[in-house]
Amino acid sequence: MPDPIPSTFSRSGQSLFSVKEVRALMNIEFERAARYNYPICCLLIQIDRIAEIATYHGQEVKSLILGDLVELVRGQTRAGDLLGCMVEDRLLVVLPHTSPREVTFMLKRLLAGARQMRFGSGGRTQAITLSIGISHNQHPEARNFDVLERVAEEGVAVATASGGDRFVETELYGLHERKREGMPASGHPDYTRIAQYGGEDYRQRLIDLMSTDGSLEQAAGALAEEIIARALAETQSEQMPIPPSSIDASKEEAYRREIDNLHRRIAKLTQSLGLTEQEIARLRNLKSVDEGVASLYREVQGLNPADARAELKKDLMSAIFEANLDLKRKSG
Amino acid sequence: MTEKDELQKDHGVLYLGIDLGTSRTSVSASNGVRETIESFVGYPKDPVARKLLKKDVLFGAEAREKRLSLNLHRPLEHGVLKFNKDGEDSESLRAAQDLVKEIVRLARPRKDELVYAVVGVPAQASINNKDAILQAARESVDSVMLCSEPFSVAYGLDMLEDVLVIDIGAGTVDLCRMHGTMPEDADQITLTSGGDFVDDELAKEISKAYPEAQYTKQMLKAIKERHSTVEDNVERIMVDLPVKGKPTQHDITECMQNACRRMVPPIVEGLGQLIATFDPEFQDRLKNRVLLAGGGSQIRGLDSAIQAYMQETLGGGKVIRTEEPMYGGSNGALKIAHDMPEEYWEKLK
Ligand SMILES: Nc1ncnc2c1ncn2[C@@H]1O[C@H](COP(=O)(O)OP(=O)(O)OP(=O)(O)O)[C@@H](O)[C@H]1O
Repeated sequence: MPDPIPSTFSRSGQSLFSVKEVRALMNIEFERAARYNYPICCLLIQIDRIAEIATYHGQEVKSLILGDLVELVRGQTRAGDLLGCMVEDRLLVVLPHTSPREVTFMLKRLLAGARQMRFGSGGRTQAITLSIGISHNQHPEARNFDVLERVAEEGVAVATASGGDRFVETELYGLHERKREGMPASGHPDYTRIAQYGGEDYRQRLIDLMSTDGSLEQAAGALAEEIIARALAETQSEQMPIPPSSIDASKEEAYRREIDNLHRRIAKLTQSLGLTEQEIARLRNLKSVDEGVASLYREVQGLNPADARAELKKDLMSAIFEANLDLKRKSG
Repeated sequence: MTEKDELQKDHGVLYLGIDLGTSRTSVSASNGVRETIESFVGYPKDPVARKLLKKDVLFGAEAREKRLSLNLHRPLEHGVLKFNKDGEDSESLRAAQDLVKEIVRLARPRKDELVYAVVGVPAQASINNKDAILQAARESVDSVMLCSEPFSVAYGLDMLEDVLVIDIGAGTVDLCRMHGTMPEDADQITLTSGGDFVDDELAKEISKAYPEAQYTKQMLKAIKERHSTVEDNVERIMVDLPVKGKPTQHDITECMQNACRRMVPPIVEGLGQLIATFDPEFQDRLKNRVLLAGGGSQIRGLDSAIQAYMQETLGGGKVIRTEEPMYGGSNGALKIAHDMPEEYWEKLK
């Protein structure tokens, strides 16, 4: 069996995060890019006719091609960071610090690389083509990562409909409203729960939230709203003369920084886990090296002089040796 | 070899006897290991094939089975390495090198041992071929010598002088008159009536007897390897062959006997020539020292059949069968390696 397709991956290799977690990291990356004002691009890559390939050539071949595609993407992207996951046989990739202009060059290389990626079956080889949807955070209406993902999805649809082997950016950012799945649309903070924990327990609360719905992004969002609500409640009870809006802002900023730090830690952890995994793989390979079987002999033997026909054998050995010496001389 | 490597290798000497054949390559080693593989080397045709097979190179039966995804080589086809008009064919040379490397690996040498190998090569191999085989072997062992395959078979059986070796392979039957170590052209006759010839004859016989029966070459080869015989009184050979897609029992006893027996006359005719051109004083001795070797010699009763036919046409003869046809060449090469004095190995490093 081939390796399973990496469901998530990063620059350094297969990531240990689940698809859910990687998507949360993508959200965080989006928000960080907005905050520090750098470009990020989002790609959704689909192999043309992947369903037919799987039907005719089997799941094994499909997995191999997807695995190769991940390698290709890794090789063709030059950005320092790369975050990706498989979404229903499609590759969702986020490239931080990459502008829409840079990404077009890269995509041309990617399309060309895919066409070289032939696969063989029954003695025939077939080329592979890709349909790619792109989006980026440079558009004024690109308000969150969700928007990027859906614009990229539409790009794939348009690229496929026009025959594949191309990339498309639809620029339909405005069509997508801000939407936060599973989150209260407007603040309905849960005051009872907030009352149960104090300032030191935010970290634990974040972990708890993550363990219930798994998504770091949603958990972080929920926690942020709880924190804001708590701050508001505190202000109200203390009857502080400061306008509530400015308190919101400063407290929110502080907690945001803390959450951001947590995210950085998680990213570092992934990296070191990746390295550990590589090391384990290396050691496993070393272990399977065959030690060999020892020879019966500790030293060179040569003819046994007690052999009944030692003289004749000696002559034969010498004749073989001479012939080989001759051969060696001739070949230089 | 660097000096450091040599210093580290002071824990033992592993001798290898290697038989590089067209259809099989075998090794016998002084650590007790004996291995044989079909002489196929395959390289994945494209990156996806490589991923699927998880290997850069495949050997033996595995390579044959997965040939659709591979560029397949039989490095010693027709007994010799293939060369094109510009010299050697580089992929086939690489295939030969990889094959030798693989057979050495299968012998499981320890890292800290010296490895000395004797490689038996087809008697008809040219200087160019020998050189290429040496190059291939030097990559994997510390010192190497070539010798002719019929000689190693005979040496393994302690038949050191004046012996006629019949080596029945897949493509050819090699008849070789041994006196000394390296047979010359006049000492050899190559016939094309080897194992593949028997397969073809068997196909003809079956088509004649059972026109409806369906079969493939591979099927017939497998049937032959199980039931081959030239003897008269044998159990009936019953095999299932499809008729219009339905497995049906057939009695192929006569087909098998006829196909296998057709091998005998050309061999004896060839032996006759080699005997007749030998020093008259030793002709009788030669006639009585005929050695039957090679995978194809496993046909039941073949030794007696050749002997009987020799009696009939040459007025006598004695045929001895090697015990282990698959390892006859490599066992003999191992014995030569063992008997070779140290200074010879040293000089050829
Ligand atoms: N039990 C058997 N009965 C009859 N024939 C057999 C048997 N086993 C193997 N063979 C035949 O022996 C042949 C292979 O012999 P061998 O392995 O000696 O070939 P080789 O030495 O590699 O070939 P070559 O001499 O052509 O280089 C094949 O035709 C195979 O079908």
